[in-house]
Amino acid sequence: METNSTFSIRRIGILLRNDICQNRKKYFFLFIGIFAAFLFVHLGSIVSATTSNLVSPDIAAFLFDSYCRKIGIVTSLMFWIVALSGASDIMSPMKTKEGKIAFLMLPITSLEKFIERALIVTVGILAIFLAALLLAEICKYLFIPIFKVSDVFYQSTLPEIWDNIPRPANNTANLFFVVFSCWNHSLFVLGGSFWYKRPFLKTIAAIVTFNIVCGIICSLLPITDLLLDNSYIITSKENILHFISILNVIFIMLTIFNWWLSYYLFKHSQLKARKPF
Amino acid sequence: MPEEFFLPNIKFKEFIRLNAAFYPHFSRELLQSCLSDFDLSEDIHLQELSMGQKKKAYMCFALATNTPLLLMDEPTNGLDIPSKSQFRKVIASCMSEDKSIIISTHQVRDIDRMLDHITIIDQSQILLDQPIERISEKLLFCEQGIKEPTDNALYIQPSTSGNSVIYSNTYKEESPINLELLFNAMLTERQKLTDIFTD
Repeated sequence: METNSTFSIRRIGILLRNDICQNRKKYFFLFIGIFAAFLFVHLGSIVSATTSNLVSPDIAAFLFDSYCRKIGIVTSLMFWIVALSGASDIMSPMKTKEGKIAFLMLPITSLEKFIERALIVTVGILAIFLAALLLAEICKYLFIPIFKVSDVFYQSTLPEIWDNIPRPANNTANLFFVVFSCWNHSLFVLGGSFWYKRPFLKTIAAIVTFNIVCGIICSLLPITDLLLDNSYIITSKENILHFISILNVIFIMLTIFNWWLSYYLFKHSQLKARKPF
Repeated sequence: MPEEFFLPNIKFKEFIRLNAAFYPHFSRELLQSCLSDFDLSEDIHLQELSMGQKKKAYMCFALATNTPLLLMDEPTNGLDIPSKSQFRKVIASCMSEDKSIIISTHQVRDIDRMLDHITIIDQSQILLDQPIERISEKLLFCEQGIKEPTDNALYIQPSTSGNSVIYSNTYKEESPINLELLFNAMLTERQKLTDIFTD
């Protein structure tokens, strides 16, 4: 098998199947955890909205809106925690020495291994999250009859969540939100490629430290004068959008750079590589 | 095949199904033959095995991959005495012209009758890299009583019965290679022995 010079989607598929089969318990528990958290929030919100069935439609609608908002906030919060902790788990097969040997020894290229892990921590995690969200939404209907809630609660919260997802196509600001989120995600991928043990906490610590250092440096530099000198940027909407477009390009490039650096770190990883932390 | 290896918490049968796909020349027949030599079956659960059994199962898989080059690091570590005999039998049965097995080991007595080439490495330096025939042709290994003369010996090492000695094999006599003795000789009398092989 010419694993050094060829690229094979089939081999990525085999590795994906291996990963899923060997870590099925881990992924199942992740699914159960997300599902349980969603169900808990659903039930908690329904219980807190329990009133007589005879409340006016306006109050019922208000209660349902409030319920949807809660679910929306919890969904986005949980999505970020799961997505970022999942991203930092990109090199989980390399956590132990034996695992590292087994993963590095697999007769497929480094790029194929990296793509497989990238698929697991992006598409895989997203699929688990959506499946858990959907199941919790369905299971909610089993519990609603137990509580005294208005009939409006029989509606699904998913359209509300769907409506609140920022659409990049809508405007530049939304695109910036998506790009910035992808960049954040890529930071955790990079952290996971650098630290194999407790990558999530170490990445957060590194980001916090970096921000503190940057804050101190900025406070020492004449940043305020610089901003005042360039205040023309915020004088018109066009200028702001132009500025955001530039930021989008910068963050897209930084995201690509983070992914490339993660791959570089993985490709050059050694069994006994010494790390400062 | 590393000395320390990771086996997932699944059945061996499933491990084979998941990993055999990476090896286009994987041989089921060879796997079955190795497993039967080691008294193992595919229906075992990998996490329920002892260290030695895990090693045997992993070894069977490694041999069944049918790769042209197989590297084994300390394959006999953790194996009991009967398993070491089984190991020699399995390796011997898997040897073929189109396959090379490189064994890295400190337990040289476990495998000294199976080798056809020896490389002695110390501190990342290659001290000796010769085929068995050439070592036998150039060196004579023998056990001598304590009072027997050891004139012209290249290396002498005290043993329980007297001395283990290496001579230059001037008369082309046949003697079984004592790998431990050869290793110690290469460490202490490197120049003398190197000269023998460069002649």
